[in-house]
Amino acid sequence: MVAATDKREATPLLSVDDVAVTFGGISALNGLSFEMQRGEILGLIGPNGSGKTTLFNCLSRFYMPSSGRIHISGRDLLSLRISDVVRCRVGRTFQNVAAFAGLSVFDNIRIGGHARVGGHAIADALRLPRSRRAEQAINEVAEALIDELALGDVALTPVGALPLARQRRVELARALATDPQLLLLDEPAGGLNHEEAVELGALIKTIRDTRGISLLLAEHHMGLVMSISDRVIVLSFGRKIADGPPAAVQNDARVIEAYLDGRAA
Amino acid sequence: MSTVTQSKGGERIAAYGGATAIALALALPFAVSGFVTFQLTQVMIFAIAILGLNLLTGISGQFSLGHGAFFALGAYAAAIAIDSFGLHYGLTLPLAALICFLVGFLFGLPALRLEGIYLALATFALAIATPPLLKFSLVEAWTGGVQGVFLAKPAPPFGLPLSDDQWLYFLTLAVGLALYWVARNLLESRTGRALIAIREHPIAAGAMGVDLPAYKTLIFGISAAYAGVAGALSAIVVQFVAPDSFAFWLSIALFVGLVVGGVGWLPGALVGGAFIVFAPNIAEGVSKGLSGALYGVILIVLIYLMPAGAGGLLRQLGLARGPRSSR
Ligand SMILES: Nc1ncnc2c1ncn2[C@@H]1O[C@H](COP(=O)(O)OP(=O)(O)OP(=O)(O)O)[C@@H](O)[C@H]1O
Ligand SMILES: [Mg+2]
Repeated sequence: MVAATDKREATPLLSVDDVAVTFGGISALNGLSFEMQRGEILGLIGPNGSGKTTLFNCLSRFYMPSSGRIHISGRDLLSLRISDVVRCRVGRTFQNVAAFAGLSVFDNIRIGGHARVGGHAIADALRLPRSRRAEQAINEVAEALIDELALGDVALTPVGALPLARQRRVELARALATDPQLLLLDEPAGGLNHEEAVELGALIKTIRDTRGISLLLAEHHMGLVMSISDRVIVLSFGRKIADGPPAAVQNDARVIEAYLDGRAA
Repeated sequence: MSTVTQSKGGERIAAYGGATAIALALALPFAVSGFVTFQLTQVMIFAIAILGLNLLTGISGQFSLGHGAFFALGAYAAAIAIDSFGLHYGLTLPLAALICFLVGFLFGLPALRLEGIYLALATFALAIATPPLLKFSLVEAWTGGVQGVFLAKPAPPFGLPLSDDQWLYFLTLAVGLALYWVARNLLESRTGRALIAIREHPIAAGAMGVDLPAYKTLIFGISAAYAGVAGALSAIVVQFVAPDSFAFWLSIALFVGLVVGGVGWLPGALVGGAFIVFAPNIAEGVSKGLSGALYGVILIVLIYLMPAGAGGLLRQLGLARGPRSSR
């Protein structure tokens, strides 16, 4: 038993190994390899079009890499179906908010809890006790998240009617409702003002500390990334050009160059 | 811990509305003629089919212009089971549901590749193909070919003091209420939310662990089963099935009924059923020659006055539920 536990501890939570993605001639990811440990906040930065979202979409199984391997807790992620990714406890948010705009905040978060309880259409159709128990479990998860993320005042408001910062928070709550061990956040500070971004940074840290989960944070907001990440990876044209503690990455000549090129282009 | 509650006011109005409607439905057959009772039964039959269509279109966002085909399949399954195999008419309802669920589910598999208007076209092809298939000579021994199948009128059981028409009315009402209850349960459950999620944002739904192919084919099957039960009831109530009763206009009529009643609002099915049964009558009453054109005018005026159907109108007046179940 001890050996098995040790092995589990030794396996990285996420391992991305030599992954490549191409879109008609354009190489969006090229030989990307890195690992993530449990409880780690990993920043993912890089100029526009450097492949951050492409990586997320591989991890969600929306894109199939042309080569390479991805493992989550030792399991082959690339053999999973899209809907089974959350069942391997990988949750995510989207760069362009992908909330269920016409549904209430409460319902959005409840859909996040979909894979957490078993269920059956027949039990649901006949309102059998097991369906009611599942419903109650999902409601409890959603209500707790609404409290935790201070969404109580808008719980029954359609998400489409909320300001962007609130929509992003609903998406975060919805992703947390899937009970992830690895949470992928694609530009969670996009469109947020300075105070909102600072508040978000504190929230992300709290989420990591209270749940012990790992977060992969793709961001352009350098202040946010550098202040909360344990480690930062830098992408440029689909390649990893730096990987290390925030302070080291920030002063890396290649990183500065990549960003200057990005500006100039 | 906060408790998130749905709007109580809306809920109460819906409850009163529902209770009043049921009381009215129980009393009506004793207040009107046998023929009107028969017409009201037909309204409910179409409402059941529209309810199924609403689960598909209003809830999961898939279109079908071919539900007349499932209606026909249910009707023929019932008629053949009674006529050729001597099955009790009551048992033909679950039989039709099962057959149509399977066929709908199987049809839903290739339909997974089709979206919106393309799916509508594929289902419309199904509707067009139905009458010729029913006339096909190889199956004539069961379907009766062009002649169709005649059935006997079932009498009320247990010596109930009801006329035949009243009995069929109450049978249809009971089936309709049960199926409405099931639809409501589905809508307000994890399954229903998964279907709505697919409609609202399929990519995000997948990322939340909703198995899109499974749910899309499931709801296609369930929706077809509703149409099939409606078809079986129609065979029993009309005591006759023939290929031309199920021409493509039936599929169009069901879709029109769905839109008039309100896409996504379940009780709207009754409004849609009434439209299918009475609008042509009203049009014909005004002018025999121009009835087709008048039907069109009535439809256009209704869509103009209530673009979101009866459900949308009630919602505007604050009498029906909000965006949760609407499009
Ligand atoms: N579905 C797609 N089809 C074609 N090309 C794509 C697709 N998705 C991404 N790309 C291309 O892949 C490259 C990487 O894009 P990606 O969205 O991953 O970058 P990013 O780092 O997320 O950029 P940003 O910071 O602007 O969000 C870009 O050149 C982009 O145009
Ligand atoms: Mg991106």
